[in-house]
Amino acid sequence: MNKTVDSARRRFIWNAGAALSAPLAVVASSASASTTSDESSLNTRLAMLEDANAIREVARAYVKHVNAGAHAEVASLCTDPAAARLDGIRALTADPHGHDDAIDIAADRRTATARISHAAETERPIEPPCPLVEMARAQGGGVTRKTERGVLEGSFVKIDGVWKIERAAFRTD
Amino acid sequence: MQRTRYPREQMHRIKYTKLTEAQIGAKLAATSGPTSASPLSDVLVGKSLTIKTDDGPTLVYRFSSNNRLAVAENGGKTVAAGYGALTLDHMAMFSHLLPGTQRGYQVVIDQATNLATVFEVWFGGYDDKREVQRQIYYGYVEQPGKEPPKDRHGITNRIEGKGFYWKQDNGVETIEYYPTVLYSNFVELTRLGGELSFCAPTDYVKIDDELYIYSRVECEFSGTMTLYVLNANRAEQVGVRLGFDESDALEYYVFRGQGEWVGQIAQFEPFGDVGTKITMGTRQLPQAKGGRLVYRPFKTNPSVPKADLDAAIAKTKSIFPERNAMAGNKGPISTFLAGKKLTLRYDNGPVVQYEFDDVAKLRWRREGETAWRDEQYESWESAPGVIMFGHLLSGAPDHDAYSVVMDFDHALVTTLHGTMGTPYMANEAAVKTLFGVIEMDGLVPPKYRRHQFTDELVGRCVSWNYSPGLTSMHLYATPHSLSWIIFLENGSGGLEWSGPASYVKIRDELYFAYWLEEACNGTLGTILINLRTMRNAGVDYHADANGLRLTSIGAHARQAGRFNVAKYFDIST
Repeated sequence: MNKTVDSARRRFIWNAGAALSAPLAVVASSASASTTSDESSLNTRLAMLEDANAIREVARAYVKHVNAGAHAEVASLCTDPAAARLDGIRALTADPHGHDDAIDIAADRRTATARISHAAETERPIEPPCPLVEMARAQGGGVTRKTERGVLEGSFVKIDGVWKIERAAFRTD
Repeated sequence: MQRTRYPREQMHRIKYTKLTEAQIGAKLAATSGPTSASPLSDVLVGKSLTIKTDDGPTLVYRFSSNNRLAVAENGGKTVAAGYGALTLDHMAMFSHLLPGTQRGYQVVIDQATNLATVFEVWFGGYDDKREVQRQIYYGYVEQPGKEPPKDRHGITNRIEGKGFYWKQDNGVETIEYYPTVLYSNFVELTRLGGELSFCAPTDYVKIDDELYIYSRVECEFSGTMTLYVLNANRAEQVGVRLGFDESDALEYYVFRGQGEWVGQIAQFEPFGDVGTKITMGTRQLPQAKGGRLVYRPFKTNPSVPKADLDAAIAKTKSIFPERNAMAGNKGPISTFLAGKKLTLRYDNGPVVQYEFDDVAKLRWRREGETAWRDEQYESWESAPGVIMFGHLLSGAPDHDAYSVVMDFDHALVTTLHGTMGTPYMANEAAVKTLFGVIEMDGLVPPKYRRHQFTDELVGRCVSWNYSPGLTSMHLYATPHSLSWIIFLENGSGGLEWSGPASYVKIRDELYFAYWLEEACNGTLGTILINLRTMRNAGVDYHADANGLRLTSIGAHARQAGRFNVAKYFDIST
């Protein structure tokens, strides 16, 4: 069964703060109150939050590199860059007014999925081509652009302790 | 006696020799430096200068006379060379080649600020080795004991949209339009008779608000570079021309010129954008030395042998397809013609009878024929009683097409008769303009009155938004040619090209125009321009290895200004 870390930005920060303070509390009270199962639960929770944080960082780096057109850097974050290519997306911006973000981490903490709200600047080729369109393409145009709100969906896998993107897609609202 | 010199072939038809490096080297070796019709300046004589450039060469010069210098590049060996210098205000421009090489420098020095802009130029850097290449370096003239200046000259859009008439000291007259940040138009009034405008990739460098450097290379043609410093207020220039003409003779001279400011058209960048950066969407400027964006229609639109073209057309004809980026803003299909029968009687031309079955099907035959031919058509009512429609002429030997404008208020018709194939290319359209009258029940056509060719559009610029993301601007550059200009992402003018054109006046602010994309993709574009509704309707006629396309055009217009150039074409409107 997957466990969900609700990581809508504010709540995630609040939860992370609580989680980080918890071990201190545990350490402080361990002589009198700790049990093996409590420790295990707290460690699992902390690990989950660390994973969520790492996944969010991978997603953030992915967006940064996509926006910069840094293909090599994008590829370095992915197991299969072709499966993480966002065709038609020119830039992504985190959308604070979108849906709550969610990161679901598998119980074995080896795979995860994430849904993070973004506004995408989409770019679609003007079809069908004609001489004027082809001329426009020669100078980086020949496309229609608009901003669309939606969700960046990704699946992740942990390899040698590092989270990698297996697949990414942008779904419009 | 003929007063205007017209060439046997216009520039886009000249088969420029593919000069080899050895041929170029031999021609350059024979020159001792640029010639000049005006006295060369002695402003640099006796001086030693060190020019330091950012990310470029350091050039140490010693000027021994007004036509001899010694130069060392990057601390290398000093070599002697011929040069020529001219001044404009506080600007000094000089040019020299490096003997034994196919390289040289065009240098512009601001004597007031000691800023310098250096164009390194060379031959042999492209497939067509006669095409001059250039790399621009910005820098300064070193002043011993002083800190280097922090400012630099740089690219700009502050000169975009201007136009000038120029007369050089050697008698060469041109009109030059600067409608984009990447390209310019030049009309050779004396060299080529001023019939057509041509386009070339161009650098625009700002010195200050009235002084600029302009530099074009006639890519796809002779490959010649024309570079000058201009004063926009006084319309004065000093410059250099370097290249090989249509006879392969070296043109290497410095010149002084005077002219007239002919106008300023609109710019479409956001306010505050002064063009210090050129934005090209997902494209980037080529990173190689001298890399620039060049539209190469000769290379990207190969000639198709006639047999292959005929076979392709026999296989595929696309007539008014639904999906068409050029017609995203077309007006509604007209119902005016549906059910009508009429005859179009052209002066000194055919007489064609029509029966319009509905809004999309017509039948036609020439007078005297018994059999009708069925065609698909589209029509638009651009102004009350003015109908434009187009159709193919099935069975015609040259895959003929008609683009027709009928004015029912006056029973007049003008038709652009397109045919596929020219003496130059099979997949290139040609066109004839037919004037005539409409014969129909209820109409009595005029005996003498006809639509007329007009020069009222000459010098005007109109932008055309065909569909979301697809906008161009027409510059009606001469009475016989227009340019189409594509906008960059930020609204700057970008790539452009030119072709022969003509304009017929249908009514006030209503013009029937065509342009031919000759030595390019071969398209014949025909549009009815309504400057009251600011919309066009039209028909594109095109054939290539994929077959024939007859497609509609429909775009929204914006006025983009006008250059006052009629007087240079011996016309007045």
